[in-house]
Amino acid sequence: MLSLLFLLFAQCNKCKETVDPPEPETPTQFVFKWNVVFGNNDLVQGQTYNHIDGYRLLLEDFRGYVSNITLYDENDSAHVIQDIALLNWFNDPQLTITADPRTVKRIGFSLGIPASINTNTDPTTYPNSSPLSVGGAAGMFWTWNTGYIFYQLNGKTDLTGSATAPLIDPIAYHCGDDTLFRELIFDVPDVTVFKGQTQTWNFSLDAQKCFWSDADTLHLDTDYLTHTTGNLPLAIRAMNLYASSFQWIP
Amino acid sequence: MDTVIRIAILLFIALVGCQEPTTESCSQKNFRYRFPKHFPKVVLPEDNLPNDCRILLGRKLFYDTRLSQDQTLSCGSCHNLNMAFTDGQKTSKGFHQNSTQRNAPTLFNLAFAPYYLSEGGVKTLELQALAPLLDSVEMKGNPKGISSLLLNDPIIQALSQKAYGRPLDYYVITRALACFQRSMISADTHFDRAHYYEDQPWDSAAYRGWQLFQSNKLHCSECHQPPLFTDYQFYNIGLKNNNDLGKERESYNIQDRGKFKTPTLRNIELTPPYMHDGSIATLEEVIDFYNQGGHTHPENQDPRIKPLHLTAQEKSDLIHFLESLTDWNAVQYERFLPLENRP
Repeated sequence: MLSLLFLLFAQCNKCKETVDPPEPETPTQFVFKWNVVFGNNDLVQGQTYNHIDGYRLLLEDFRGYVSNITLYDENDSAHVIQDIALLNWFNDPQLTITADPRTVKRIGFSLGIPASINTNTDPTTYPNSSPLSVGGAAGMFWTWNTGYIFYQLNGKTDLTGSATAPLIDPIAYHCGDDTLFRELIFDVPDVTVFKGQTQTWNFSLDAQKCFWSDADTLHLDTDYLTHTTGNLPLAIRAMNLYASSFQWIP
Repeated sequence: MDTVIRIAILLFIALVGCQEPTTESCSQKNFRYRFPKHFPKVVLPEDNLPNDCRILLGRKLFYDTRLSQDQTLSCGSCHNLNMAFTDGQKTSKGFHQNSTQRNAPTLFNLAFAPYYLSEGGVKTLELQALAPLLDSVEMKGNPKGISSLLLNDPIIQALSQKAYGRPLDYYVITRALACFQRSMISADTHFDRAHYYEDQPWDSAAYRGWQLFQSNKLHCSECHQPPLFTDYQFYNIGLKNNNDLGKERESYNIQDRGKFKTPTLRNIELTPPYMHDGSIATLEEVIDFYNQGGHTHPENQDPRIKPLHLTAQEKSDLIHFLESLTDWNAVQYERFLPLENRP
């Protein structure tokens, strides 16, 4: 009987020796990193910048949804590696996404929320960890009209043009509507990312271009406010400028 | 002796039956709203079928000021039962006494509405709750988190678990409030008794007003369609332009500028001032407004809003009819009042 018990215990110890947990695999990661600037300067929340029209400009809130973060392989097949993220552009925006290794020849992401999610959505049904939940959206949801604010830029200016007057005139671009969804795709040098490797792509987001570019200029004395509704034309212009402010950095 | 015991048992059953549910006693069995037979059918949301616990939680939350950022405002602050869930203000006072943009609407019979708010942009009663809860001018609740005072309330949390099987969050809050609001039915008026139930003779002046109301001379009932006295459509009735875009805000269509959802006329006597902006103080002035063909909104005024040439008798009859739409019982139901100091 004792022999049997001994054998039993010995067997169990042997089992323990053979089931050591495997070494965790290093995940394959894809990093999307945005360097946010205002012209030639770093963008800093609460700092004052100069508008091309001569007005001083204080930026207070600068956030946006990015969605359908996508890798295109050598056959140009699209692989969405993350659905949705809400980024605070003041806060060292970066997404680190674990996905299968693959060869990548193009990358892309969209600005806003796809219509399939944006229409008839209910933010209370998402877990708190989701950027689409009431808490996760943190105000980027129209409560009076179902749908999300894709991009929000709030700030203040002084329309007297004085160099010292307090900045009290509000500016607000709240853009969100299915027609304002924008897809960005960037050709990048082909890269094969192997298992366990990390591949980083850098982008620039120039907040200055959210106000003026070669194509358009938002004049702060007239083009200072849109909640999309009530001023859809300005929302379209603001969204187009915002979309044009992203570039891939080689 | 037997008789005494029987009476005692019957009294006990009656008393227990009349008692309102508490956190401990509320039932999780499906509850049937008492929708009037002459009202349209209601399709209840599958994920929020009512029961005692859900309605009780909604009732508690409806009157809970901890839902507002400064703990001073509840839904009930602007929706008082004795004014048919309105507040008598031109436009309601929200966070830090800031004026909201619009007049508080009645909450009676919301169960039958196909969409919510004056421009109709919100598709469910559940989602509607987020508008006042989170609006910076109204209750200014924090989207990132519910007040810890509320989250740490053991009674609320117990009821949340019992009602929805999860801790209190915005999912629970919006659904419980919707369950409570769907119970706010009002259909016991002189008009209902005289016209639908036929258990009460018409007041003669009210009857003349009813005939006039649905006549081709006035066309009132084209938009204020019985039995709910709304068609839930959007019209520009010729109010002065106060920069509220109305339906255009939701549709982006300039043809919708100044159009607002037809409000119900049920309990209208109790809900002054009138119109989405509260710009008309009395029912008499409302009649005068329509009689003169509106105030001539510069854009999109509905062509049916034109001078009516009403006599003094006709105006009086119309008022009598509108007053026949008051449900004096519903505005006294205890089940709609706050639960003070109850478990």
